[in-house]
Amino acid sequence: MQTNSLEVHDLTVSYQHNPVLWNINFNVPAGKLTGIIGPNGAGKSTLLKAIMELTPVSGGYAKLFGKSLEKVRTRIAYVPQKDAVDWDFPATVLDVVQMGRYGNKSLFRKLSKKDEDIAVECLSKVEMLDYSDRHISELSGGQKQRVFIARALAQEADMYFMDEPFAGIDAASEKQIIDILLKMKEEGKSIFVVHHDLQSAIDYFDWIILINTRLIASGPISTTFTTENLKETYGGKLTLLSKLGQELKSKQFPIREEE
Amino acid sequence: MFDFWIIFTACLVAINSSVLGSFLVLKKMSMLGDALSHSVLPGIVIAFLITNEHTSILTTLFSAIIGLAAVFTMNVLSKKGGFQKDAAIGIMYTFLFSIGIILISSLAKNADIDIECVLFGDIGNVPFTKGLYIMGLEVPRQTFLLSIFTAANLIIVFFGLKGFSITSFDPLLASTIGISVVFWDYLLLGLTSLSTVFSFESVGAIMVISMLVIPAGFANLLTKRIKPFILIAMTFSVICSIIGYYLSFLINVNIVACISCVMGIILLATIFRKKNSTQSVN
Amino acid sequence: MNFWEQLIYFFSFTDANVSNVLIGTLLLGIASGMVGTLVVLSKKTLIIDAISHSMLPGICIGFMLSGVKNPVYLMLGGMSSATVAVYLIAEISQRSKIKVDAAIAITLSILFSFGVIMLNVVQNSGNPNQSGLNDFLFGKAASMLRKDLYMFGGLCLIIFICLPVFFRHFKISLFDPIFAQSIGIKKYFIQSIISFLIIVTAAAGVQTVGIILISAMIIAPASAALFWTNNFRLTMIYAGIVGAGCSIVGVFISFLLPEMPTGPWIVVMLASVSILSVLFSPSGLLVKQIQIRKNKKSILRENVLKTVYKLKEKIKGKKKGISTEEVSNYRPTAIRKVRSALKHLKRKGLVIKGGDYWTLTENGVQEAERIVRVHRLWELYLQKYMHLPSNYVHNSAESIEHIVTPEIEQALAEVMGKPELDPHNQKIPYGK
Repeated sequence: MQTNSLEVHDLTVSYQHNPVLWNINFNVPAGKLTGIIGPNGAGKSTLLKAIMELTPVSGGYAKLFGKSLEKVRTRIAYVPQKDAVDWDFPATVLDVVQMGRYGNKSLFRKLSKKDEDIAVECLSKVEMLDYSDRHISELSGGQKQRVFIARALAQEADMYFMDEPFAGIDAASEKQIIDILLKMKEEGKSIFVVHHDLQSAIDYFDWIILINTRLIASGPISTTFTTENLKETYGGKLTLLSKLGQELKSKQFPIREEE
Repeated sequence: MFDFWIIFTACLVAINSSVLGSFLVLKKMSMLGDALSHSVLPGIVIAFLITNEHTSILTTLFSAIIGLAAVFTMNVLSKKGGFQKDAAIGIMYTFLFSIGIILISSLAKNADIDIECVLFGDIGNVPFTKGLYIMGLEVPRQTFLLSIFTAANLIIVFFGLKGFSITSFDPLLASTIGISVVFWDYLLLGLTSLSTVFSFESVGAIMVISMLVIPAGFANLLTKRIKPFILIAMTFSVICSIIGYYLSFLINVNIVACISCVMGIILLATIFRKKNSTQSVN
Repeated sequence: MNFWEQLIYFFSFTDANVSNVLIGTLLLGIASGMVGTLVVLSKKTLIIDAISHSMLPGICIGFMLSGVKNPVYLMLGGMSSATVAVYLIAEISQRSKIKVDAAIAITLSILFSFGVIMLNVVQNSGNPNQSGLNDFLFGKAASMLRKDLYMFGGLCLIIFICLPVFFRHFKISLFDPIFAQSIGIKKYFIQSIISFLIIVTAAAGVQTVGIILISAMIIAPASAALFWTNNFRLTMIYAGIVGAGCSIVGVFISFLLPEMPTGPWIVVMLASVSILSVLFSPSGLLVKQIQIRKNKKSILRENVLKTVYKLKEKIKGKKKGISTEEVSNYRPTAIRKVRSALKHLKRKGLVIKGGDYWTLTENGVQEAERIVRVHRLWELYLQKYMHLPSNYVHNSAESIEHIVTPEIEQALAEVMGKPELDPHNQKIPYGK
């Protein structure tokens, strides 16, 4: 029986009472490489952040491997957008990858030999071992992303969330990263990628989630990546939802009744 | 011999400030550090007026807590109240500082507070303050307390290095691993608050900022890893403190201001020299 | 003189000294409030601290070069060192890895320390004119002489000319920077003018509020004003008023208590106005709390109406009406709240009470049906257009039903082609 890796139930996320994500609901089976697709400002990053509890949720919830995030944290890895991080920070490539081995409980202890070995191994998986001692500000976009991937691999998670990993990187790095992701998928990992390019989406992913402030569709790529769905994702009218959102914002209205 | 205590005190202040300031700078909280140093003033004055003692554990804790409460209020004002974040900082700390000045001007006529002392500290007075006897040596009280704090501070930073680093570099990732960014930020600010209060008698309320940010700025130019960063900042601040101390006697100026200027000149020289060479940071 | 006599004396312009101070303070308050609008809107508030603190060395050098406490030299000196600060901040952040906020803090501390050294040098020189140089730290409006006022007026004049001349530039650059660039307004140019105005304002403000506190003088009025209006021009005007008002009150207090510096009192006033704005303005916390309470009440009332409607549907004429207890039991709610909701509904003519039983009036039926209709339309919309499974749609609709306006309701009905059944196969009542 196939269990779901991710279940999102009626999730609504608001900013100042105006919903940026409305009633998102989908289930994804385990072991899929899923692309999250939609236009700019559609709420894709917000969706990831809401699932990772990095941003407050006004309604609904998410379950990872059937449980709440807190119970399965050690099995989940999150890769933020590249520009969410200060690349001038005094750290080498190896330092950053080793951060993947920090757990909440081990923060005060020194990293073990095993931790160090894992970090080195992950660096070689992304072919960045030669750069171990390089300062992170000296890296290209593609190299930075590979370091991030190595860090995520070092977390040895079962589910990975990646926010725009292919943005602003060279074609060679992109190919390399997708090969790594495919290998991870073969190992049974569940991977969710926020992606911006439709052309490559067909080649990369086997499950697709189309979002534009609300869910358009979620399903296997063969059946879901249709012209009609794409039209609605990229061209869909949102006037009704924005009017409703404006009302909610101006009256500071709650999305869920308390009591 | 009394020279030694002044230099030693200056070095302690330098070590504390440069270490904590390193993370403040890396977290882009430099001005928050400045705000903290101003915000502790009313707490210090009130505690002094109540206890009539310059420094004690009680006054220290009280003032430090007020400093933290100020930071907390700034956050609340901007998140819940809709105030622009930088504006909240600017208004809050000038407000607290003003309260401190008003208290001093009106109530401290009988007490032993003088505005220049408050602003710039009176490190030269350290050897003449009441002393304690430790292992046969007479140690000025202020310096003794400062030493204990410095030791505690360094231990906390040493053990907390990973926590401070990851919450500075990638707070999002830190949250997802289950690390509380809020905890580490408030720990840093709490230590800064305490450090400011402990250093108050020596360097006053306004000059702390130089000790916090200039060493970190210097380290930022020279290194690519966090441990050397902190060591360089500490060493730099100590060396400049010693140079600045002796220089201030030559020109007969405020010791702390002189130390800050020495730090500043070396920093600026380093920055402006770099543009002429095409080498990248090693 | 008692308090009221002093108050009248202060504002009566009979004492030349006092009226100098009053006029100067008024001008400064208006000027800094208005310049502050530009600063707050361009989010450059941190730099003000650096600019004001870095005036100290210039003021001292101006004194050293001229030998006298001539306000013109002092101010020119101050403005020069402030300009050096602006330059340094830009250079430090561009040439090195040091970020802008750290560059500001570094520049501030270096130049201020340098200023303290200069201050010491001046004090050591024994020049008798140097007393009172300390007043630049916290302000001493009371010592403003006629000649100070002239220079002061000159600075304010520059500000009052620049603001209207560049008003449109500022407005466009602050609210639509991309458009501004497209029509040729250089971002660098605007930033330079704003920096220039800050320097001039700081130079003027140093007399009344002092170096250390001038940033509050510039930031606070505009920050408070933004809670009262969204309009750029009005923000400036309100900021000017707040700045002027707080300055005058602060100077007056300083007048009553001559041993106090003026700066701290003005800042206390400014901070108070800011806090009051956060709490009590139309976009403030109090109003938000009131709105939240209103929402809760109106949600409760509509739910009670719905309940009466639904229960009536169930009993189908077997009883005379619904009792208050039944309503409060249907959806567990405190009976006290239900009672007050029912009273309100009665006042609005939506329900009537017969003995112990409540029934709906015709208007009540219509309103209840409207709510049910909107609820079911929204459920259908969630199911069809948002792909929400039908077992989830109810929760969202329970909330949204209370906020859908007639306009939105019509759009919903149209988009779905006036459907008959909701996701649970219940009829959607169209009434009328």
